[in-house]
Amino acid sequence: MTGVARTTAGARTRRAWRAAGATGRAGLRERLADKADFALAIVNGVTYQVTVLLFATVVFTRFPPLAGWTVGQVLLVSSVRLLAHAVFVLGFTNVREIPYLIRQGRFDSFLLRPAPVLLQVCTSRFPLNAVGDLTVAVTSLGVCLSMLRLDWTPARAGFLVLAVASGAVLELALALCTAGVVLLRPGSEALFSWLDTVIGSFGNYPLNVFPAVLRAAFTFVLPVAFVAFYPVAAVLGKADTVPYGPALTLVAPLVALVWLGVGRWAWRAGLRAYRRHGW
Amino acid sequence: MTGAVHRLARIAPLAECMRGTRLATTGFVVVTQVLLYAELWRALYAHTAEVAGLDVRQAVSYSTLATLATTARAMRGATGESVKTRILDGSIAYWFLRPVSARRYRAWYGVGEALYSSAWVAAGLALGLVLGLVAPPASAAVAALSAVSFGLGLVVLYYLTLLIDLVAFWTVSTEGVTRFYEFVQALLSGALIPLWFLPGPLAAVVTRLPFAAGVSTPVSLYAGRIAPAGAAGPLAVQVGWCLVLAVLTAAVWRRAGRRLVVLGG
Repeated sequence: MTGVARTTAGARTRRAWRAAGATGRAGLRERLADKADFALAIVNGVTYQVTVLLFATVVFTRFPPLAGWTVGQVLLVSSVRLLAHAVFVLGFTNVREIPYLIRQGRFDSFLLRPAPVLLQVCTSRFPLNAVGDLTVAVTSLGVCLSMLRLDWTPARAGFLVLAVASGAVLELALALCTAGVVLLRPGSEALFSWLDTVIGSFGNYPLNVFPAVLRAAFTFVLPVAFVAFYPVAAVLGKADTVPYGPALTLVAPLVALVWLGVGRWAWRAGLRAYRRHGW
Repeated sequence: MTGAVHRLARIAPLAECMRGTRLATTGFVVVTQVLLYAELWRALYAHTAEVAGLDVRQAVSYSTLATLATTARAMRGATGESVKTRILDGSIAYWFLRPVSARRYRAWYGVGEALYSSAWVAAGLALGLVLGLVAPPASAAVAALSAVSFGLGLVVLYYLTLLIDLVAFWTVSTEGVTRFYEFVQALLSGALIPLWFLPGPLAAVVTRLPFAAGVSTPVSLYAGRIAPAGAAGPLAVQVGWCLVLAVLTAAVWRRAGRRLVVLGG
């Protein structure tokens, strides 16, 4: 019986992956239909992240060092956040497109097909922006690592990989929470761009520079500081300088998993409550 | 005609106000973004009194006004009327079947959008003044000039957004070009970084472009970065861009109407 169940689950997963592959390829062909738009979409990933880095550069060059963090160290926080964001964009950026999918009527058709809704959402459009996002993130990481000249131990490299992975999972979790709210309450779709702005603008700095209320908010309410700041403090060996104790620099993966659980619950609750309202 | 104009201008505000959730979300987004950016600038100024001739109070005022102007405008995106979405579902055909021309329809719809976003800016400004985030205007002349400049900025931004949207008549998909425009707009309008933080020669060029006319010019007038005595030049640049862009969009509309593709059926 268990064997049969396992085979069925395996077959279901294979079928889902085949469907994802087919829709992904169709999505790529759709994006290739207009060559100029295709090229611009790749460029856009670069340009958007460049604006974020430009803002950070103005901050670094015009203002004194931030809370005892050197330019290279702050840049590592930005780079890890960028890379985590790029990984999220590569797999899950279409979660943020749900309001448009609903408006076009495509979301309703996803609900009727025999494949997971989230998988269909994620493969509904080829994430071209990710190419640009990844390029900027990898370049930025390369530049700052050459500035920092760290001694690489397996533990440090492991922390860096974990930092990027947990950052990406956290972004996915928060996007799923937002999607849940949007499905439950039509009209709240601006929360997606709000989330993007808050993580993009405030996840780049050492938490120490912010006043107490924001430090608490970004740690205990909206976990922006766990996307890059806390795990990067562990990579840099600056765990003793972070607010609320060094233990927090090690728990980013755990925080990400807990939030992923919350995101999964919010997504399911949103799907159950979703009714087509018209726009 | 006046009745039609009134009804068209009412569409966007009514659509936005239809759902309490949308109003509540807009309020939440505007207030939190203003407060967060104010805290970020205050934190950056913690160990320095003045940067590029700007003290912390001016920086927070600038950031609050620029965030209000850009966020309030972006908020109408959810119900926003656009050539892009109308082309995709084929309903663009109706724009060309009505007694009001497509160009006029979009323009009066845009007036409603501008009034709606201006209401949020006004409410945000009032709150900012009460909370001490924004310094009151130095004089009545400064208040009047920045209000005029803000109005001209709305016209410039309407035309710029429309020009990008009209590209959909030729390409159907405008995703790439729209996002690229948003990047240029965020960077060169002064919404992200005050333009006087940029290197001198670059700032000189950027302040004369239409993007700066949208956010940087009115906010600079309000914050005292442009004195009322020197306001004639920047205001003339804004008026100039309004005229150039009006002529340009009129020409594009004429061509767009001739090559309309209606999808679906």
